[in-house]
Amino acid sequence: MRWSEIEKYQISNQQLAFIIIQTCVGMGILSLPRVMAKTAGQDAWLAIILGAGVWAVSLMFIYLLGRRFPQDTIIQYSDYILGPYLGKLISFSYILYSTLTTAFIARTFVTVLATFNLPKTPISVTLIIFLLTSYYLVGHGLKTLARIYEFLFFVLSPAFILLLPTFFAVNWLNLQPVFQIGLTELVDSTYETMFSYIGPEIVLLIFPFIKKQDKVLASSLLGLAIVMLTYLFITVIGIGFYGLLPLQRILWPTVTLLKAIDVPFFGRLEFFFIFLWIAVAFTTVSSYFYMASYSLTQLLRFEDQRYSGLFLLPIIFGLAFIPENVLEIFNYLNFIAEFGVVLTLLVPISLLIIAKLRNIKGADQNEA
Amino acid sequence: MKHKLLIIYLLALLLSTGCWDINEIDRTKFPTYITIDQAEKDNFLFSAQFPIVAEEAPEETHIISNIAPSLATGFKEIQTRTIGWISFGMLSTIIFSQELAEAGLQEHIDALWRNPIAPGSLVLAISSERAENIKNIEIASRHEIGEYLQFLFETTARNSLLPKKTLNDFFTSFYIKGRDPHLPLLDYGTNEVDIIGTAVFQRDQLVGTLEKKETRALMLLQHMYSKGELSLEVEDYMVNYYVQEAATKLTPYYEDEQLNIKVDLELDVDLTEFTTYERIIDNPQLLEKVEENLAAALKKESHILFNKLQDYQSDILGIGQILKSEHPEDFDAATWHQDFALASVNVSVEVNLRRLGISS
Repeated sequence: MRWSEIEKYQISNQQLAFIIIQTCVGMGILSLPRVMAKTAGQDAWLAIILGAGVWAVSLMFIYLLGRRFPQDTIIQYSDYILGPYLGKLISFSYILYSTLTTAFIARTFVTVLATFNLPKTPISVTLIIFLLTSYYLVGHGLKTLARIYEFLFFVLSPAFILLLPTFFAVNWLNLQPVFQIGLTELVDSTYETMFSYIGPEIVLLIFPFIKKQDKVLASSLLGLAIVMLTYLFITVIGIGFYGLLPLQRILWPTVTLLKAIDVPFFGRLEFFFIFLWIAVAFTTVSSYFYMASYSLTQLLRFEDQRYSGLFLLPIIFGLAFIPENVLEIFNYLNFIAEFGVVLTLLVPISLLIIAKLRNIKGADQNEA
Repeated sequence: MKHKLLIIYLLALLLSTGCWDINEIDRTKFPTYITIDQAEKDNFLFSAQFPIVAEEAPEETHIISNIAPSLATGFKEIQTRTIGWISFGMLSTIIFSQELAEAGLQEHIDALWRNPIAPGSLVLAISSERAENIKNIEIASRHEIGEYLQFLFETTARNSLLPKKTLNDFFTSFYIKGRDPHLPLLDYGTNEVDIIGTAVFQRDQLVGTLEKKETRALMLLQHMYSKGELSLEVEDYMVNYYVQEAATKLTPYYEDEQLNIKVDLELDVDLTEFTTYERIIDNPQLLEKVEENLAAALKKESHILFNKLQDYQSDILGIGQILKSEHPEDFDAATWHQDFALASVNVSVEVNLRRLGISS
């Protein structure tokens, strides 16, 4: 990659942390307490911490890979390491994964919005508005994306403060006894938790644009830690407030938590939460849209990322209509999450090992 | 120019969603309370009160009733008889008749819970007679019964006189293992609604009722009696206590395969009425007696409460939930109601009289 291009889109390490937070925290926050209550019971907090631990290890390999190829993205160095055919296959997998993720997350977003706020608006209208806004942001490149995420982080944080009144109504009996989970269940639930953490793979694409590359791991881990604390917060509140069995009967527990409380003057908080959550979902979709369009730009050597975005826009719109109901949406989300776990955990480790064995290195930034 | 066009374009997009979901406030009907009674042939009678906001309207409220097999069907039909879209957004109370509650509330709870607009904080209650009869009450203080009920529940719950329970509470207690739901029991007068006790459920079916004194004990044991008055008739005089703090500990445990429930209740109270000529300030024995009288009364009420709950096989105190969290190996959800009914209960009450008011 040309150094001039890297300089143009360079982002700070702090912005990297915000990108990771905004990419990870998206759809999962609405349903995570239910999923965790089912798989890990009252020990869900343990699975969430372990899940973050696995991702931290994955981030370390992504970082090592990035340090080896400081000016290249995975689309480029997969070619160097595996050759043009296998490399292109890896690149295509990332594009496919990012495109599918954008589509299904956008579909989940409009489903939630149709349930709570816009029941009569055709989902195609909401979806096209959502995707066009996302396309507009993505078309302005990584730097704009990072700045928006940084700004939105501070704007969206109050969404979680809204949940504080329910924290004081938590019945701690619902979280006891601790350490009841068996080893098999713990492994299963940790694996399930990892689906909610997908998002750090964006580092594979944006590594060359980060200012202080030696501190990428620290910034990424900081972002991951904030994501973990957010998930711990909503899961503990969800299980503590409702208990394990009632929680499994609530489709979007984090929103329903707010339905349960009546705050004087403010009244119904769930609609305000959804208003803020629209931006949370928007950032996640935009990240994946960016990943898909930027990867495609690199693979097909487009002049401008906006062309690839425009090419992907109708495909994403069409893919979003594949799930026929909310059950299928969850099934597809699980499928892409598993796909994501493989691409983020196994592929970087394998690439790093092969690169070391074949002694392949990228060009040094200073040399360029 | 490019940016101005973009802003216009984005604003136009925002407006397009409003075309479908726009709900003008004057075209929306907000029921303030709903009553549900049993009707013939597995049907239910649904009645809802709608406030009329138009100043020129001859009436301030409008009550519409309909017989239907389910809540959603019933309101679909009511919708055809109202001008404006019915929204449960401002719904504050639902009253079920005792007869209906005995048959089970699950289907109505499901319809309400599934509705994203219905607030989880809406208060549920049981009426000892036909729930729809509430429309015959001529409330003196306020014109609108829905608003009256809302204020009544708020003030009585704050004074620890009402076991206030919401849709959310009922849903949670219904599904959680080791806990059963309960709701306040109402009686309609000519000009007011009286809270006469508690309706006790096993799962979603009403299985019995508690009177006022047992309800008082229930609230003390549930940590719901944070502050409030307690009255006691001792010999030929009255004593009124103001509870400043109540701490309860419920300890279920098995001993020789027998479930035991240990109840420890400690109260800090002030004296607010003492209708005898005796002075307490220089009489420690009398102070002790005043404390013991209340302790003995509450112990008796607690035992009556437990006896009734065991008769009903309903664990509205959530003792099973405590056992499950502290000794999960001892808790069996399948046999819990029977185990609870056979449990041995040991209540100890300690009362600390802290202040005497401004009289000696």
